[in-house]
Amino acid sequence: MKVAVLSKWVFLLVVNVLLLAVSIFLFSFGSEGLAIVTLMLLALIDFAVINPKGYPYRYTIPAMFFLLFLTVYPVYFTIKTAFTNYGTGHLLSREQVVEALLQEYVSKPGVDPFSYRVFIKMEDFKPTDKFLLLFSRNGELYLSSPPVVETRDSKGNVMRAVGNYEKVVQDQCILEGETYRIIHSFKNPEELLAIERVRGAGSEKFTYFFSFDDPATLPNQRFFISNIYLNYLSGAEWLNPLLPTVRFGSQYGFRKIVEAERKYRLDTLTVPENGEVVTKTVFINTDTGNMLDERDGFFYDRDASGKLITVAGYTSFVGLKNFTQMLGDPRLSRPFLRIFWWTLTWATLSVLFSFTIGLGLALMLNEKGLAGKTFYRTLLILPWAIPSFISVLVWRNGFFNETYGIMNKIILGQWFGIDPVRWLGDPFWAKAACLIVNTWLGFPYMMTVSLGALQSIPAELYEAASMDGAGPVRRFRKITLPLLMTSVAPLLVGSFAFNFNNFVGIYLLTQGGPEMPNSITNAGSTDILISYTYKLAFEGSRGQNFGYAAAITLFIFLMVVGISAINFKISGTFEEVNR
Amino acid sequence: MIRRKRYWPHHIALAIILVVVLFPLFWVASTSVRRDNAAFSNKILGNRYTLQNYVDLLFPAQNLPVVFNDMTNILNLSEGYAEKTQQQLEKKLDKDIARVNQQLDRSEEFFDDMDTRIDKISSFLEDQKSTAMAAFLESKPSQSQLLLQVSEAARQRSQQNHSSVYRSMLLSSLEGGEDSEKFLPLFQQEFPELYNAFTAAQTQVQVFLDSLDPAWSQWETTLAQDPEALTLLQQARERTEALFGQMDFSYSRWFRDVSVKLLNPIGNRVDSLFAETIQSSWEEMVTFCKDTAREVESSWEQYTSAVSEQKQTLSAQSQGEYLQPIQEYEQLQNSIASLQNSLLQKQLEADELLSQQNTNEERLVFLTSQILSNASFFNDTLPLLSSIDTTEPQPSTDPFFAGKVETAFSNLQGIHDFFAKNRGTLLSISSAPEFSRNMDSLLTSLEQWLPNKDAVLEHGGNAAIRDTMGVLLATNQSILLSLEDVRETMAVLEEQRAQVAGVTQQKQALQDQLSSATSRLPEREQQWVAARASEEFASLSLGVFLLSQQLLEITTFPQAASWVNTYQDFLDDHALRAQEMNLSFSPSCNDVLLAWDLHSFVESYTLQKANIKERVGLIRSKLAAFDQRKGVYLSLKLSGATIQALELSEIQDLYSSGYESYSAVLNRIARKANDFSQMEEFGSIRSSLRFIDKQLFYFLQMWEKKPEQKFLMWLVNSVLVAGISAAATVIVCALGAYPFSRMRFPGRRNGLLFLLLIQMFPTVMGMIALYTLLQIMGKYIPGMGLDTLGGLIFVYMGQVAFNMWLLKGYFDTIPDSMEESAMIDGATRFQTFWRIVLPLARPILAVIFILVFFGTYSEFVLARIILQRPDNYTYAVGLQSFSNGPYQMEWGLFTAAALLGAIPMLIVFLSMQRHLVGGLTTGAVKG
Repeated sequence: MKVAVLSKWVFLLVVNVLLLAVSIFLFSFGSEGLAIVTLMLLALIDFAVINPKGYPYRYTIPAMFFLLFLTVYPVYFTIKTAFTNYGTGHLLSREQVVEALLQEYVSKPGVDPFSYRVFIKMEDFKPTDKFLLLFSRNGELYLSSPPVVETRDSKGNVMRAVGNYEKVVQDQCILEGETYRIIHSFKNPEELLAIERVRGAGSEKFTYFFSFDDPATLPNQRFFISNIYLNYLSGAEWLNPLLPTVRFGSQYGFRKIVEAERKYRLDTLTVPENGEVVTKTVFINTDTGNMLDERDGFFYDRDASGKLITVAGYTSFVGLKNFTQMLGDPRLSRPFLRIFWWTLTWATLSVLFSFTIGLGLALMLNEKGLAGKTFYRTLLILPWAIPSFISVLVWRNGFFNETYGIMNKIILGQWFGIDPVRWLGDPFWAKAACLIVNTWLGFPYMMTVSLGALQSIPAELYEAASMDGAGPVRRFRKITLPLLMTSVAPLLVGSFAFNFNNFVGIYLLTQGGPEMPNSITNAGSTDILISYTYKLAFEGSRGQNFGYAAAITLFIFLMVVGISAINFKISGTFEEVNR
Repeated sequence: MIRRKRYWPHHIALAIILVVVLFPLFWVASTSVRRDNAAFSNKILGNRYTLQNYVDLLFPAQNLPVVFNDMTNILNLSEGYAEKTQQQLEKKLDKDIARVNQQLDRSEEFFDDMDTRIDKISSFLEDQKSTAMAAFLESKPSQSQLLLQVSEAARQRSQQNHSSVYRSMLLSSLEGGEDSEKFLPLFQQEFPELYNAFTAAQTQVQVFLDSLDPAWSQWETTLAQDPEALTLLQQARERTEALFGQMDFSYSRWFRDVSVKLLNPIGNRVDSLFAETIQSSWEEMVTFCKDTAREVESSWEQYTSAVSEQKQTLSAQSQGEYLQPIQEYEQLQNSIASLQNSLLQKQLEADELLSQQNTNEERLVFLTSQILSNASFFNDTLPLLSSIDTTEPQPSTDPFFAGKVETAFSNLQGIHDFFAKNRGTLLSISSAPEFSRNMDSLLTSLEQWLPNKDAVLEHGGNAAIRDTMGVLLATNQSILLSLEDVRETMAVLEEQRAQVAGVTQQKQALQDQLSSATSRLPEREQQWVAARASEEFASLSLGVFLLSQQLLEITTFPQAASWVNTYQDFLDDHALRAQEMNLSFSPSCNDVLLAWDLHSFVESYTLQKANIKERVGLIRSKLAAFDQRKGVYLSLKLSGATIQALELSEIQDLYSSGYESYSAVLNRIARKANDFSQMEEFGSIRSSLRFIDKQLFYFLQMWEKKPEQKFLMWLVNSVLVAGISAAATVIVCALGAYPFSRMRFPGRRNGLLFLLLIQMFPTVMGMIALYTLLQIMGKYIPGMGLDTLGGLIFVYMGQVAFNMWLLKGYFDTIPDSMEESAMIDGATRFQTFWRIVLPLARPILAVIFILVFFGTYSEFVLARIILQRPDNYTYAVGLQSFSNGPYQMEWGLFTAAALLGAIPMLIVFLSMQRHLVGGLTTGAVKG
């Protein structure tokens, strides 16, 4: 017993330490959502293990683990995104953009760039990673040390690495307390062969390896770029207390070293705002002295003619803007409302068509004396049994393709002599195609369900009705339909909700197309809300707009909850939860 | 009273519905076994079937290109051969070589087998040729008669309508060369004077040549002693006859070619060899030649000048008749197109300007609202003003105070004036209520401020006033700065509005031009049609005439075949008119054509066979050479040297340069064989043709380079992913649902509600979150990141909520009593769950397993985002990639893959349908 108790506590300790460490790590990583979810899981485990009342929760721990990470966290993410402008042009956070802007350099105008030579220590005649850079400008030489990494960004990439550089005097140079000597070629004194460390951390020789201006070293360029430049020189700058700071010039790439300065610097500004005096941190363009405008999640600069230029955008909290735009801004609301209307039409018509056909077939198959019922039913159920993505792809490629599809080529063209129809190019026919396919996919379910419901209607009712002289139509209207509806209605509502979000039925068939004219988002004529959301988020032909997509997602969620509430009202499902 | 019901209407209706409903499935099944390319066929069913698509998907064959590649890989020590020893590699190479040899043998066997059939076909072809030819020759007179009649009819018709077009065409076709003589009868009819001149010139030529003949022969005997001169003379004779026979005879050319080059040297020789009499007679002869040649030339000249004169007049006439309307019509069309184009440009320009205007308006509203948001400051300070009235004046001690107040108030005045002046303009741009409200409130508060300058000056000592003044000044200044922007923007806006108006005007002008041009179009079009018709008639009549002339000369089979081909092209070109004239293709023509088709089929088969045999022989010899040296290559390679097997790359070259170019031809031959076998006429060789078709197909399968596809891998991936996530979901859900059904605890109701709600949340946006989650996980847990099946399975576990509901509903239907009695016997809670509840819930567990399996098997959105390498694709993602890109038209492969993927699901579904329907309805609805 004691062992059991002990092991319980040890287990608890281990789990606590582990999950706490994970959540702290996630916080530092910037994923506060995941960190919170981890803490919630930890709280649940602790409660379930420590508190005797929490015993039932022990069973739910695995399920809650998956739910928290794979459902709750994405929901949290969606809701959070709905209130931001996250999307193309606003992908980074404000801190990241500030960081990046501070890392933008421009070379000083009117100052010549340095060219440079790379000297590498050779071992067994193979280049190593030890290197020195020798800058030269106007005949003057400067020796520089390999930069040391100073700051990294949140993803671990090097932001800034710093080294020192010193002027070479009479082929001698003292750099970071070590003395180096430059070795010239005897034949041609202009040619530099190597640099030798003569005093300091042991004698070492660095051989001339690469210079961009020397075509003879071109074969070494690949090694230099992949082993030296990319590993050690990104974000590098070299300092000297008496000379300007130098770095690789952004307009030269790796070809030249320039005297560079930051393009933007931070400053504070005191301004009146709503009758109060506020101090703000602002960016100043060091070249023009302009202050950057910051609004709507963008930094703007002005060019010489005073025109606004977008410098960078960041993710920012925009409040209800996505929602108000959805309904208020005509450029967004018009496509949105059209899509919403088509979503409702599509779901309604899909249910209506497939139910009508399904019910008709069920009525036929319900005849007592009909031979071969099982045969018919089995064959008619086939469209339901095939995974729908397969059938939809078959319909799209084989049937509705405008040139090759047999719908145009053979069925309409050869059998009926009708001109080809632009199935996927014309808004009306694309919608018709979606409905045809979805009806084909959906009627077997309706047929099966109706058949089950029909079989539960007692036969005496019909006998009594025919005694009273009711005809078949009247019997259907007065007995079959009402009794059928009591059991089938909730399924119809459920089917409506399913089709409301039937992504496969639309996206695989038409990709939502053809495109709606005059829309600033990539809205298509057959898009339903869910496929529209998907396209907004993942298909960037007109820019991704995650914030807006998330707002629509919330809207869809509310719609589905509403539909389901109706459904539960009809079927009374939730009654027994109160039991 | 029970009547016996009839069910046949039911059966008929059901049968019709079944046909319609199952048609797509039938289509899928039939295309997956078609051998022709269904996407490009016009028939719903093919007539050549094969299971090759399935074989390709399930058992990718080791055919020639694959083996070639494999051998190269072995020599490069790549793709899994890096770790092997030399013996193993050599063994593998031996195997590959044997395989290649075997396939080459079979290729040759294929052709040997086909040869006997081809012999049969050839002998059939000979019969066919001779009968076709006999029939053709028999029908020739009647056909040529018919054609002449048609030509006459067409000629008359075109003469009635537009004679000059026809005549000018005829005249220019005379210059065409080869066929020109065939037009002579027409020529005589149309241009009698020209014809007379032409015949006169020709007679003169003939007379000249005739009269020269005895002179030539005399001189030949004379010069018999001098062989060199004799050769020259004979050449001169031939040249002269040839030159005179030409229609564009010219004296100067004759003089240069014959007189100077040939006759003069003879004259020189004659000088030195013969007596004077002979010399003079030679000179006489030469002069005669020259004179007559000049005469002939002048008559030719007369004729040609007459022709060119006639041509000029005719072409002037015919240009008026058809060229002009055509040109005019085309010009008009061009100008309409260019007008439309510039109109479109203007429209774009206008749109661009409008959008700029919109941006500026937005900017204006934005800037103004910024200013207006400061209006509240003025409003807030109004109470201060009223307080001034009630307090004693208190002059300021600050010497600069008066100046500051002055500036502040003049600024205020400026702001007030600006807004008073531009209120209307600004309000016309934004109709937002708070915008106008703010502006009005700004104006009223400013109006209240302005008269109080003196009062403020008097109360300068008041601390509140002084502070307010300070802030007021700062606010003023910033507002004035912003006002600069506003003013600027307004000016720009003004300018843009003017531009828009200008562009709109230009657009209108263009529109007017366009409509006037368009109104002229129909008339021009009519003229154009008429001109085209006359041109076509003319060319038709000429063409028919030519055909009939050719027909008369036909004697051999190839001639007949080529004539029939021309005839058919001609009919195609003039399909409409030809039909009008009731020209029917005679059956004998058809026979010739058929025989010709078969003839070229046999020919191209023989050619390709020779090609392939040659290629096979070459590959074989290279392979033998490689076989001998492979040991050397391998040991060199394994010792670290960089080597390249020359023989192998030569074989690859032989394969790619040779095979790939004629695979299309072989395919065509096979198709042709199939087409022939469908024909009645070739009934007696049908089996041979079918055999060739089939053999060629097998041959191509052995040689064809097939795209590498990983269908089986995808299927395995899918089954793995779906199976594991389904099993895990079942376990997790069963555990999680149990307490909700059996225990009462705080948070139960809310937990159930939470589960219900959260599973309705659309997952689309959440995918981004899942993507980042996997990205982080992948860095620390191998095999669980992006582009891994583990990560995908993990993500699929997110569907637990819905299934927990289903399970909870089912658990509720299992009575508690058994568990209670077990607990009395000492079982723990968990034991009762594991030993009693779970076994009882087996049916619903199965249903959930199948549901999740189905769901994940057909899920493709998440999978497509997470999986990147084709090796990792699931079946759903893979099939989608089949339906796009290079496979889009490979229907056979696509439908076979679709069917193969669907069949397992189909079987499971059909066998489980009873449970599934029951589980869905009772589990979800009734609880």
